[in-house]
Amino acid sequence: MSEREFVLEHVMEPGTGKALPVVRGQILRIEQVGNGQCADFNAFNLHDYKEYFHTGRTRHLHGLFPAEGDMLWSAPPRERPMFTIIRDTVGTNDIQYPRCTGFLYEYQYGFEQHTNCHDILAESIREYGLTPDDVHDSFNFWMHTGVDDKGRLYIKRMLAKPGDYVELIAHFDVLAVPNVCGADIFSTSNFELKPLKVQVFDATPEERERWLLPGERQYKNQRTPADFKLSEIKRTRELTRDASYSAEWPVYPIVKRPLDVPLGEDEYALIDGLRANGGFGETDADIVRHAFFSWWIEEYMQGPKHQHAGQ
Amino acid sequence: MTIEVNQQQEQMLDRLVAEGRHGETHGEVVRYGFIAFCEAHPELREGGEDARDE
Repeated sequence: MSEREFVLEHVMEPGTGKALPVVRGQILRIEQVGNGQCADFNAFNLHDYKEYFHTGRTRHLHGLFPAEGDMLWSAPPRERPMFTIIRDTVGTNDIQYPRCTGFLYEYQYGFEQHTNCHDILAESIREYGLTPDDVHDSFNFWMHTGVDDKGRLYIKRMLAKPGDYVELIAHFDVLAVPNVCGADIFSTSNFELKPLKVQVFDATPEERERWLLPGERQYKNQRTPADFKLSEIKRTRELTRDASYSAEWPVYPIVKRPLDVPLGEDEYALIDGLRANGGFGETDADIVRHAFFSWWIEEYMQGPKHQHAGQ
Repeated sequence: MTIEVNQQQEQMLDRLVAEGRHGETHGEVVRYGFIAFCEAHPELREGGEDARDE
């Protein structure tokens, strides 16, 4: 096994973060220095900051608590894997909670000023000319959370210990922005703030072979500004209507046509059997449609299947 | 029997017909998938578990 090439190291003190380029094939390592500290994390395409990390697509594809082997995805309409988590020594990460903010601490706790991830991330990305509006929902490394039986989120005690770490390999050139989470009045980081060490390495050839995805976009719908009708970034804050606008919906109109499905007595008996289930619809057509598309999802759909057929 | 499909669903049915494994027409493909789903999930049908036991 080859040795990784060391690129840089930085220790983030409490109240701080760091924006650092991580290019394709490099590994970002975030390591616990103290006894359990949450790292909030933002990421941007280094060459097009409008492509940035998206908790929603990541949550959709990897569930509520992504860990080793899962990927961090960019927002629609780009939707590319930005990183893969290649090592996670704890496995408790969160993408439900948004970054904490100054408002949160003032509204809920009465602090007019308090360390908060939004402001720390904003100050970190200012080094690259980005603004507080560019901060987005964070990947929360080591934040140990759950969902109760009523669907409400809660925060559990941080499990990470000194020396625990996560490693992420970058699939394209990224501005990575970890920060020391500012929450010292929640169990997020066990009620105290501690430093975190960040390092960047060049991956070994073996690691590149194992983890790196192809550099080219794999799907037509992983779009770039070249695909946009308006590809320039808007320069003004005021919103005004474009008087020349004429809608050009991508697929419109939707036209329905009748389709004859040849069914015999045996198939109608199957329809009656599914009707009794109650989860496939009422009419014969509803039931055949639901069952057919359920088969298609089971046979052809890639990725997680958010489908629960019947009751 | 008749169901309604839109142009996007017709594209999907076109691909399934082109595979040549599930029928030669859209209607035959829908019939195939419907039956396949029912056979794969007897537990979802009234009497289905009995059918499996037999």
